[in-house]
Amino acid sequence: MKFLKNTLPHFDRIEIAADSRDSEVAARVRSLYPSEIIFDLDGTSLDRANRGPMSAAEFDQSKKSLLLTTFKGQFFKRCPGATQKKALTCCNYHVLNLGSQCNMNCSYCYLQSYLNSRQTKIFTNIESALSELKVMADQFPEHGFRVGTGEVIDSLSLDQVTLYSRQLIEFFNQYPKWNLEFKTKSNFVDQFLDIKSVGNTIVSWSINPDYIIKREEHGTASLLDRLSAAKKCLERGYQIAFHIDPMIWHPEWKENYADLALQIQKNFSGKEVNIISLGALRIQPEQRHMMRERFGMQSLVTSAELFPSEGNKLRYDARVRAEMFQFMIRQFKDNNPSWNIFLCMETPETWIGSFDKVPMQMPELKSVFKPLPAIQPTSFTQN
Amino acid sequence: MDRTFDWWKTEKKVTELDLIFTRALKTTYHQELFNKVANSMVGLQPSFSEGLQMLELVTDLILMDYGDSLFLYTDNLDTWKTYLQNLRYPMTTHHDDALKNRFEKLPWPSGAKTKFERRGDRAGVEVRFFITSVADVTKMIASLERVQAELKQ
Repeated sequence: MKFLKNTLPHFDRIEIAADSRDSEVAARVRSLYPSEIIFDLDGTSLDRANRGPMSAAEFDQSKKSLLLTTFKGQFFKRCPGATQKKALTCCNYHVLNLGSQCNMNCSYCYLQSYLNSRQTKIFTNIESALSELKVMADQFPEHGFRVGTGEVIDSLSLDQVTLYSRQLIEFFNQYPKWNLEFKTKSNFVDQFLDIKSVGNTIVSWSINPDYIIKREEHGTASLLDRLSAAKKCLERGYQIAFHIDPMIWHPEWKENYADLALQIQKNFSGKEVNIISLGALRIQPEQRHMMRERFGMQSLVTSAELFPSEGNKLRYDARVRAEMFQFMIRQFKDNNPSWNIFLCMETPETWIGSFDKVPMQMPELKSVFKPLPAIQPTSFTQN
Repeated sequence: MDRTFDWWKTEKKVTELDLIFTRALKTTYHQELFNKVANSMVGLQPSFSEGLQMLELVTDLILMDYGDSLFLYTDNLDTWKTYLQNLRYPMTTHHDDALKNRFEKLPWPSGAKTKFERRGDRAGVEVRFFITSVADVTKMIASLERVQAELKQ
């Protein structure tokens, strides 16, 4: 697998917990990285001093130190948007967390206020995650659950190390009504393209104009590289999706986002793209201190004019958001109404301001937003 | 004891964690400028939360390359607060001013009290009126319809 060594993620130190020592991922890490930076831990996994919020320096360091360990909790959960259903319009997304922290460095990343572990983690017990999924999938094989792996870790940026994409695609092939979504800002897809999907795996990219990528999405693939990777996936029969999220206001935003929409439409048709979701910059209030310390105030994100909003997040003024969404929707729909566009983690007021209706009134989105059966954590069997 | 920033911190029981935003001030120049502004703020007698809110704004503005202008309009706490917010949120200030101007010119019902407000991520006008009869309601509705017509233009 020649493609791996050219793009291997960088770590200064890799620790392997005793319970992960014999895992496939550990074997793979040993084969890919120099032995000088790999350390076997005694006893069970030693999670570095998880007390209170991290300093900026600790957060930076956590991206360079990798821990292979097992996860003892529940892998499969509802998207955090679902916990704010009264305030936000929720799209029934579910998440499967197979690790935490990200080896890229976006200025707006919510992990800055979310994580308290001083290390990037990869959970080596994917078989437990798949067992959990199997319980739900066997119980509700006909429900169209959408399951994403990119909530607290990029779905694919470390996939060259884990190759989890391969196991997940094969697992989801058994449940054609369920959808698996990889969400990434990388262009790493070659490691799974030889596997045939039954059509329920969606590879999605969070995208922004290069103007924003260069300033705010440090260490991520360029727009061109992300679109090229999407093209490859499409050619191999995978569904693709784009998340234009977070849209970031700047003086030239109209020009740059119009160009982004043009790039997408030059490369893909509305029928080829499963969905385009739009979201505007939003942050947890407590995250602003670390962002300010790590990126200063010259960043378009830290210097943004954000205000307290629904769901206890800081957002642009509601009119600014509506203007950005309406503008972007027009860039697609005016050319071809078949583009499937929705808003991510937004209030019903903003939906109405942007589309004149809420998603349940839109036939093309009704199935996405229709309530699904609740997850019953106690029904999971843990290994 | 001189009423310095150190005095205010002690008086208000301000902890290091309360001032977490100052961690972003990494150069001596920025730290000295912050202390100078903070010392000048103490004379305005802010409460614990007012002071922290001002100081976070000051931190942002120092990192946005504001300097001497931070010492303007420091005669009164509310004036200074509005001034700093206008510096920190210039686009919103501009939009809010335009919106306020527009709302003020609308044909609100006579006797109605209007107050332009920003509430988090939304700006608008609070309208209060007093009604004593069905005739009052009819008049109010007619006036509000004129407001609606103007807003639609």
